[in-house]
Amino acid sequence: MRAVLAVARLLLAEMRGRRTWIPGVLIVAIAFFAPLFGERTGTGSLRERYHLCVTYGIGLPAFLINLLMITVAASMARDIENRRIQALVTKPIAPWQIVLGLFGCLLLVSGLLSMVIFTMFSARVAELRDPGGRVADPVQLSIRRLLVPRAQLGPEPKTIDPGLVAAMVESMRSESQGVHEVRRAELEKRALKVLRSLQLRPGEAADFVFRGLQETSAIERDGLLLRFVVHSLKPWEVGRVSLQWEAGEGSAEMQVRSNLVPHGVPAEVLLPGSVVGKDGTLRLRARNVEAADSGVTVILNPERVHALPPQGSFFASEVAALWLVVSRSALLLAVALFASSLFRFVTAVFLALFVYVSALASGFLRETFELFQGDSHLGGLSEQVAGWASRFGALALSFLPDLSRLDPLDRLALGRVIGPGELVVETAWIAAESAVLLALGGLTLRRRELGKP
Amino acid sequence: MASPVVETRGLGKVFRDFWGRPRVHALKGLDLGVEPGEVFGLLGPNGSGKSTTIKILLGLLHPTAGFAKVLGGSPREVKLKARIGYLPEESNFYPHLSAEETLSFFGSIFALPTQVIRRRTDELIHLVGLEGARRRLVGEFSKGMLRRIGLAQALINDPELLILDEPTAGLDPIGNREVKNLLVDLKRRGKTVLISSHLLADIEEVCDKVAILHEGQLRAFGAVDRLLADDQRTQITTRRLSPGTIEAVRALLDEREGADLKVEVGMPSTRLEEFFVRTVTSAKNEPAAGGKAQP
Ligand SMILES: Nc1ncnc2c1ncn2[C@@H]1O[C@H](COP(=O)(O)OP(=O)(O)OP(=O)(O)O)[C@@H](O)[C@H]1O
Ligand SMILES: [Mg+2]
Repeated sequence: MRAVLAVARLLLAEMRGRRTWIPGVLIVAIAFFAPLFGERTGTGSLRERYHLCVTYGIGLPAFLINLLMITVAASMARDIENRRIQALVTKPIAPWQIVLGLFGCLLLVSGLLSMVIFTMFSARVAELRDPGGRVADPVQLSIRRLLVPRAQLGPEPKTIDPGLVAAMVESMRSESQGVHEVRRAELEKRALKVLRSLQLRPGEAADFVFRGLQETSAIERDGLLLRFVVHSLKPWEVGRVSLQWEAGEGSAEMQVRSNLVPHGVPAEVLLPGSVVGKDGTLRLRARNVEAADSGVTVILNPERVHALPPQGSFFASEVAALWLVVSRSALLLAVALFASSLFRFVTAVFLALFVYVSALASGFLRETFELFQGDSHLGGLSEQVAGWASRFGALALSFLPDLSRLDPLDRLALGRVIGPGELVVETAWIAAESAVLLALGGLTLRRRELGKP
Repeated sequence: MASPVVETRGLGKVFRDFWGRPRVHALKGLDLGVEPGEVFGLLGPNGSGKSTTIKILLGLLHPTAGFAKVLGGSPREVKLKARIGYLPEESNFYPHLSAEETLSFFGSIFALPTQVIRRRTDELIHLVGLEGARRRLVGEFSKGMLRRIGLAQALINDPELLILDEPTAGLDPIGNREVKNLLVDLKRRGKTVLISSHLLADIEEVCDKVAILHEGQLRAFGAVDRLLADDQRTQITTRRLSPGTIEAVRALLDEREGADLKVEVGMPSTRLEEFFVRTVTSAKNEPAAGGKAQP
């Protein structure tokens, strides 16, 4: 244990000596000033200013902190390269202790930096007074609220008759016969997707039920955000579809542009708070209000219709977001340490950055890869190559951490709760992934010949 | 007899390139043994495999043939390292720590009690003559100063086995003498020392045993006095003689021993230096001669 602490202290001294605090100060300054500059150019609505604060006051600094920490963590690779590590590893210290010491020190530093930034953010939000009316709760209450179960996101998935899937696969197979070969698994996936979705012809409607929306007082005040994705059956024919949401007595009507790719972007509609019943239940009806003769069929996947309860308390959400931001840094540090146990400095930094960026974008990448895999019937060599590359990319992605699973800053910006369940699951994932990476790093270091650069 | 502190059997090391193709055969079937309490000198020309051997003994490199044992265990055992002190060939330490901080850092890696670290730090800084620079950053140190701090860190745990890779490289004559005194002192205290060096006069003075490597093979191995006791030759050393006297001596030798007697006349070199040059030259002349040790 003392050896681990000694390594951590050594890294602190190194960081002091290398003037690593200069970028640290710069990051804090960015967190402080950038939202101010943004405010001058923005239109200045409360919600927009709040958004700016999250983006430039936390998002950008958190990104920079991670860059900085990745670079410092990768300096282990430099120590191996210039043989400085030889004096250390010939002492009674196991490689995993070295890795753990570096990890602990860096996690502490990035945690402290993040804390400073989030504190500044709170001060800024308090200054804004009312970023959507979410600030005033005392801390005590917010902690209690964090423990209250929140609404489930989306209704339960439909049960699908396996016979139906088989029939659909069969029909798709016969349709595609002679045109091109599609793997059976692929067809099954597509059939499930279609069957899971609702197909609403003009005038048709579907019902949704959300239960457990407990924060009725907050919902009453702020309303309820509904987020969903629509597709149309023939996106190449119609650029827009009209969907109307009906709830309780009032109805929330809106028009949604459907994008031209089969994977839609999320659309949002703010429902008035009064629509939620006293028991926390919300009944919604989605209706296709296209003209009867237009023939536009709206496709709505119930799994992607989310009723997002407003944030019960600003502070609870901020603490949860801080927790997630710091644990993500931990994961990246583990990646950087693992990479530097195996590669040279530049390569290690590059790989860690690569993992970071693809982890951030992994939701988007996943969908893109799926798209290419699904539509390989376009033929042509480059399509084939893209199909194979996507298959490979999807496989590679399954080994990379997925930071798009749950975006704490997005939640914070939208005023949404991060449920305790989500928090626990995400933390457990990150802890497991980091532990595996750190262990691998230690193991690599142990097996490697550190006597040569 | 106690079991050897350092033992290698058929030790071989092949350095490979990125694609796994063999590049250098740095060690070929090396058998060595260092007994407890010995001061052992590892000699050899540049690139003969001295540092490679030492790095294998510390687990910094993995042998590709044979095995090495240190203090009865594998060189890669972490626990054993608590009893070893090592001065690497290159003096690369943490440039942002002062001399004092460097020593206390390494001390805490050994999990020594704080008072012990403080006491040893003081003693060692005094021993290696860095009192004037104890609070200066190691990054600012000169080559010789780095060597000194390296020596100090190798001694921080009062090791049973001290492995020094060219400790005197870059040291001034006084530093040289100090290292020699240190070795004598360590020997008196029963420590085992493995030292690689090019300064043969010093080695001859302090080492009990030497091994001479050439291209990764052992060319000579044994106790210094035994290696140097060569009863086939006679050496007479006096103050400098005039050419006339030398001629007279030659004539006398011719008369007594016959005209085919080979006589070399020159300035005296240390005996080990002469032995070293002779061994290496003959190794060069008859490459791959099995590389087995002289008894
Ligand atoms: N990392 C490495 N990769 C490839 N070859 C190496 C490596 N390290 C050492 N060698 C080779 O192994 C041989 C022995 O090197 P080593 O450093 O052991 O020599 P040495 O006896 O210590 O020499 P010196 O007196 O110059 O310190 C040399 O030919 C060297 O080029
Ligand atoms: Mg060497």
